[in-house]
Amino acid sequence: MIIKEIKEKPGEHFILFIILFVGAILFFQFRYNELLRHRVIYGVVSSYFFWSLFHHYKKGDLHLSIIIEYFLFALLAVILIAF
Amino acid sequence: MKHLLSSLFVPQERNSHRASILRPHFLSFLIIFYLFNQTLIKSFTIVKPGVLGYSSEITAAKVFYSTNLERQKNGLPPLHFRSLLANSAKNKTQDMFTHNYWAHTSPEGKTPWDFFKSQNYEYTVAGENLAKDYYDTESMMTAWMQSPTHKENIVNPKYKEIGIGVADGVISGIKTTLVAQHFGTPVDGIIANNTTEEIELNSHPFGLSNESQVLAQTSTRLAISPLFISKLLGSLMFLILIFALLVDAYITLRNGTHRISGSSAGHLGFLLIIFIFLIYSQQGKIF
Repeated sequence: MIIKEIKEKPGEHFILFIILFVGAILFFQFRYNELLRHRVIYGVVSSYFFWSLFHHYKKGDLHLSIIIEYFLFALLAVILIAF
Repeated sequence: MKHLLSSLFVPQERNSHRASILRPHFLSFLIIFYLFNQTLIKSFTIVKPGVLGYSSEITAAKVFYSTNLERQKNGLPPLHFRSLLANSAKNKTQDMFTHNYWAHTSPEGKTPWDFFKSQNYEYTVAGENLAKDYYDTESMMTAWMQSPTHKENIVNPKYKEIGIGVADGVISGIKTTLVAQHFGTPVDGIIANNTTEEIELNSHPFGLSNESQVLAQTSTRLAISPLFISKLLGSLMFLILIFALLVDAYITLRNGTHRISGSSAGHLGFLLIIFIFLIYSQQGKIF
């Protein structure tokens, strides 16, 4: 299912890969700077959320339930890292 | 129980072909549960101050050695250990515990320079580095060296002497170790030349005997880190979600189910990266 999804929309998943990869590099670069580290985390989380809107808009199934699902995943990530 | 687990992890007709654990109501439950746990930890630090905290193996001698090692790497002469500066650094850490603050300037407006002056240490240049919640000297030194302002103090050619204060205590209900580095160059130009034994003796906040130091260190190690509890709970939640996503994706593919839901590949990639962030979140703070 996961590979099938990636094969269906390789470009969009490549964008997500770049977001997460750059986020990981920046996170380790600023690992010892609390302020910048948190900014990187917020950046990755918000980029992921906006990527999901773009991805599902292009796919034609951008429903409220999907927006809520991504929002909750993003919120959970922020809460677990920042609090 | 079997039905509950099946509904939580396996997409089927009963849960509209989406694992319940990945549905908004359960994700909301996880968020509330985690926030409740964090509130519980915070309340516990108020009701039972000093039970939760950060254990540490940091000593003034290790910090002194590591600081001079960094200076050596940068082609600078080593700093000399000065007991007056060690006293001002120790007084600073004690002041932070007594007045429950974590900053260069106390709530009463006491600056680092007031601690230097209280020891009658007349300086041409002076500086202060602070750290808390670190387990080992190496991590703390790395954090300082990664921060331009702290690094500037450590590898500053203008400084000739150093004093280090390492103290255990309770801040905001959490047991921790505070480290203060006081740098300076005396006005009179007379540089101290202390031995390693003197530095070891000065490493304890109260200048206690070796036996007392061992006891103090042992009691510190018993503290349960609130960061560890949060990381453990967070990691468990992430692993459960990652497992649920994998099961959900496999079953959906096997059954050829078509449904409206978020991208499993996207969620999985995102959760894995956030999980790595959580694992490598740095403990300790510098100021």
